[in-house]
Amino acid sequence: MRPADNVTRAISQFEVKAPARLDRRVREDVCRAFNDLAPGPSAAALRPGWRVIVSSRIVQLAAAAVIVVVLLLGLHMWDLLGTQAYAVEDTVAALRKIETAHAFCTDWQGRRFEMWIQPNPATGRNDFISLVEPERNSIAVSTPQVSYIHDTRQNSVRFIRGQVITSGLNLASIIESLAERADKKEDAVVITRKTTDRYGEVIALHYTGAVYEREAWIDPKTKLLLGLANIRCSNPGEVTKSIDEIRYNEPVPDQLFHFQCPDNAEIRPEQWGDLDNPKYGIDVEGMSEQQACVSVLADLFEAINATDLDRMRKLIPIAGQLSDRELVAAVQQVTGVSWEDKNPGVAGYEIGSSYRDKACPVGVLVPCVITDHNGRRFEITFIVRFRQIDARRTCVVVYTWGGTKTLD
Amino acid sequence: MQSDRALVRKFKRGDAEGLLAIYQRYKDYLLSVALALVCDRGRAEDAVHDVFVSLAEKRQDFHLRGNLKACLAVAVANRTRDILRRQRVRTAAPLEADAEIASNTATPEQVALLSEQCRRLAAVLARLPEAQREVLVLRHKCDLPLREIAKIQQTGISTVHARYQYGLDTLRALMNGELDDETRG
Repeated sequence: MRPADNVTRAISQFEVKAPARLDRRVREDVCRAFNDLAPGPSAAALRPGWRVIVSSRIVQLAAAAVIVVVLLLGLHMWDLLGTQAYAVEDTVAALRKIETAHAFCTDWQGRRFEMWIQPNPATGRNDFISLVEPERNSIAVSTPQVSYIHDTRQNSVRFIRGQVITSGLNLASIIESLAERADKKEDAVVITRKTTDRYGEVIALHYTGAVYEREAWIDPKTKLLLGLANIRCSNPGEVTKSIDEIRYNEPVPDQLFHFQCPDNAEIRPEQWGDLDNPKYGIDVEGMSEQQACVSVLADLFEAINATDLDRMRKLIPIAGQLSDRELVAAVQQVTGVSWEDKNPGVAGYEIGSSYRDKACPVGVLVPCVITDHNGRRFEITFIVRFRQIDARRTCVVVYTWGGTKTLD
Repeated sequence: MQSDRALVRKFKRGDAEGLLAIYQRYKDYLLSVALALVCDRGRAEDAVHDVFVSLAEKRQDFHLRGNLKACLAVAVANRTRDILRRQRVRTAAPLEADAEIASNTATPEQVALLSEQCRRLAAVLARLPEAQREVLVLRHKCDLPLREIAKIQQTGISTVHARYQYGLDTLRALMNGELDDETRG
């Protein structure tokens, strides 16, 4: 064995067999523990969403039939009245084809807001978004190049390079992620047909997971999403409690995505003042420039994977100005990794060599390649700024340089 | 063969055989992880035993997220850390002479060689600080990414990177030293 080369292999191959005495000991004590406990939880207790459904004998039978079909056919539901089948993928496909969506939503404080979405048919991403929140005195417009957030009460406008208010309302992704979660985890997605006051007869997708419990209603004819309600949510940054109404393919009002700066508005471009605030950044004393860049960006990717918003704010001073929702949206936009209720994180990242560009005086540029959990790769260049504060060398991530490129 | 998830559902419904089947499936792997972490066969067996009994006792609260094998390895690592914290076992405790060694390799010579390697590795692993040993074992035996290890150790990724690098360097130096001794001998 050549120790220097084979250390990691030796650890991975380190293997012993469990002796029979351990088998006996585990068997005896496990069986004893099972016998000492009350019977396990019922299916109803495991899936509280069912309590609503199983209220009558007939509905119990129907629900049981649905369970059997769901178990047998995954997420497909056969129309009990005919031969037409429904699959979640139908809704995903239908939503991928929409040109615009005009949604009326409610947040967790009961405030109404309105949103226009114009997806990019090639990428499925929401390239253009208009968000009007009258009760929060906010109007926002997001385009791939620049975003504007207008505080109507203070009459101030904040400009942000690139998209930061994608808002997570990617309708196809919401539905797609339900299917993925049900497929990969033990989370429950129950598909039923029901009649609602608001929408009439619908296909209902009821999802119960660790972070969310939500119900989505699907039009049985068009397979499009009619509305959605979050019954429970513990996701930081989640604003939307319900999507009450969605109108598809309405013509976009003229100039909707062309922000007109109001007269006398205070203009607040991206703020760089905090870049040298000592409360941000990490200590990189004694490290080379490249080592420091790797260290701060690796920390950032770990914070993204952990959805650790405080850590992200510590590393990116400009994120200190963003709400949780804006920050989550910005991360999704920048990294290309999108999620609805559980952040899948980045599957891998490569941090390239730092370099300087005269056009970017605030810091050095560090190209990175991110791989998401679907194997898609994105190239992003981050700006890393070095500071000498209180005789210590520290650095922060300023922002990204240019857009996010999807690699083949 | 039933899937891990099917077995989890089975034991959560109250069927002990589901959990015992999981034990049978992963016992060698988990004992190896525990042994590499705790460097003492008795305590390694205790760790594996305790994890399964705990699962049986708390089965109603158990929710599988992700990969069962990795989940069990993390549970074993946590348990060994508790054991080490309590007893502060830092000295090398070589494997018993009759330790059963498993390997993908088949020939008796290779098995014998691996057996010797395991003993040697256990001895040098025991000389590492606990935190560094844990990072190396979780990374290379359990295939956990460093960010997961940082969560388990409740520390930052930079610290884990450093522990990993120091641990690897020390382990290489120790194994090189051992080779040098043998060469000289």
